[in-house]
Amino acid sequence: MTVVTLAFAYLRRRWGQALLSILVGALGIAAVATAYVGLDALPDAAERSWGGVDLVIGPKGSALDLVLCCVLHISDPRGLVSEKAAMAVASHPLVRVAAPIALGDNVDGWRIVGTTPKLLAVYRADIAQGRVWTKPLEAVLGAQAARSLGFKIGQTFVGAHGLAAGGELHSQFPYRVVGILAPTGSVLDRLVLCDIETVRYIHKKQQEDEAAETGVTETYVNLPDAATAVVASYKTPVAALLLPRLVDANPELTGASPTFEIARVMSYLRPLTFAATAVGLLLVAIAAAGAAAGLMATMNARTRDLALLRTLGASPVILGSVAFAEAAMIALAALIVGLGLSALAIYVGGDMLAKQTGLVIEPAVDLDALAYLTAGALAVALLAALFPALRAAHTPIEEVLQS
Amino acid sequence: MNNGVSTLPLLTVTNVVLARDGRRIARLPNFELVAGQSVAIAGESGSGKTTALLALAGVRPPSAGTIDIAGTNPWQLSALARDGFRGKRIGLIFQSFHLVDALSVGANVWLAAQCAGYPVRERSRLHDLLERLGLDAVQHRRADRISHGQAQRVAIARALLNRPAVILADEPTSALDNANTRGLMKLLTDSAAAEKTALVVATHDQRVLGAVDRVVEMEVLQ
Repeated sequence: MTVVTLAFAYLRRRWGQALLSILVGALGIAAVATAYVGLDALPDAAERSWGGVDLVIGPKGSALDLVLCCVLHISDPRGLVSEKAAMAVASHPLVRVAAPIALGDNVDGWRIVGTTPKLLAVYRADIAQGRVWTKPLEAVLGAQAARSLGFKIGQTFVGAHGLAAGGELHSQFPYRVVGILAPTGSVLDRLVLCDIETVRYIHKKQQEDEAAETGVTETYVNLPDAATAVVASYKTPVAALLLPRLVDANPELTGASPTFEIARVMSYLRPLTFAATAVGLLLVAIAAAGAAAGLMATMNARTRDLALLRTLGASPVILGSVAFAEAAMIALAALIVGLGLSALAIYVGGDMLAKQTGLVIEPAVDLDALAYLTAGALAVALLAALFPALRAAHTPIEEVLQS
Repeated sequence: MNNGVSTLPLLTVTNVVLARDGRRIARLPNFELVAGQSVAIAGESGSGKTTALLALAGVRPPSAGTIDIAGTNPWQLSALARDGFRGKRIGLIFQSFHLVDALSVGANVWLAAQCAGYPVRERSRLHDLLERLGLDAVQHRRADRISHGQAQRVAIARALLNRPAVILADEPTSALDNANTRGLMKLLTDSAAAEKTALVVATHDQRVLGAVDRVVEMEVLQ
């Protein structure tokens, strides 16, 4: 009790210096915690987002682009494939279910995806209200899209060209909402689904109109069964060894595995984690050095108090413990503030990420990691307090009586 | 000023010789104190009064002789046990009081109990002492925000808190005028009597000598 009371009283006396150590230490801890918790949560967020998709088949090109565009729905398409050709590969016995998707339009920034009802089976999604589309220009909304757009069954809306809000409106093709999906936690929640022929028709008409004006004929006109990609779900994990290679063997197609591509992205991000951790540890070390220097300086000024405690019967261990307790209080305060800053950074960063990409990170509280972090912070504090504590423990008490 | 409560000696000094840097500097005359008695160790500056108090407090060993405090010779204890003994059985009052500025008045007094390992239930005694010494109104004020007179009383309360066998005061009146010297000495001797404690004052202040039961003069060895 003496130790804690004194340590707290001394900290209050030099609150400015203590606050600086706490803030620098907190920034270091926040950097380490955010790097680990935030970046560890990212692959989980991506995995939740891609739902049941094991394989995406698209035009020849970057597999990562294909995943970002057609599985995570973050980036723009790089080309089109023939649905027939892609579905021919996807009809392999190791595939549980596959569905084509066609992108190109949006409603207020929410992507309109032309597909077949089999897409619901890929994501294991259920209709919460209404029914699945059966005719052109009927739309089924993902749960989040329906909530944000505020659309109800029977309501009509008009799509706009492009994947971001603000494109040219297809006013002559109004969609009618016929169903709303139950939440899946996947990207499907943020999509507006309709019959693939609708998307093809709207774009064919648009390109025909443009061709009449410019004389240039584009893909939808030339490729009647055009699709952006085909997404598939495996029957068995063994398929992951065979099917991507089988797709890649086709000179027109690329097969991409979301698991593999996201792991590849994360391997690129890993050095960033290390860099953030290194900066964080450097800040912690600076805070510890600051705390140690502060303690040493105050020990010099406190010689009289420490000697007094000895005369009152306090053992050298108690005197040393005051320095340790001060350092531990700084460390615990830095830990609490640091974890708070980290939680705030993850919340704000996660919110921005969700708004820009739809990826929802759900950082988990890892009690083991928290215990290690606490033990590490206390160990650094004890190290910082070692020399001041030794000095305190060896305070010559004669100084008091003879001063 | 012996209240006659007990005739068992609380402090016995026998043939104590003091040394500094390996050289014998002074001899402390033999004396014995029972509860409520007071003695002044007198002598000029540099005569070894403070060194004598260090020896009585178990801080610096005498080069010869024995010191007995309530039946224990602190110099026969281990260093750790001597620290504990000092905290429990010896109350110290310093010339400049040595309060911990970072703590409140109450916490400064309570520090004596905490350092000596007294249980929290002794806290009622803290309040009694603060009240008796007129400090209850300032008990939550920080020690560097009280008057000189209040600081004196805080130092006395701290020395008395653990019901020590002996109170050792080092030049307690050196910076005081006559009225305050009389007031402080009365407070010290009255408190020692009330607490059934022996009081030792090291001083070169002639005004103190009349306020104690007896005076012993340091014998300088040159």
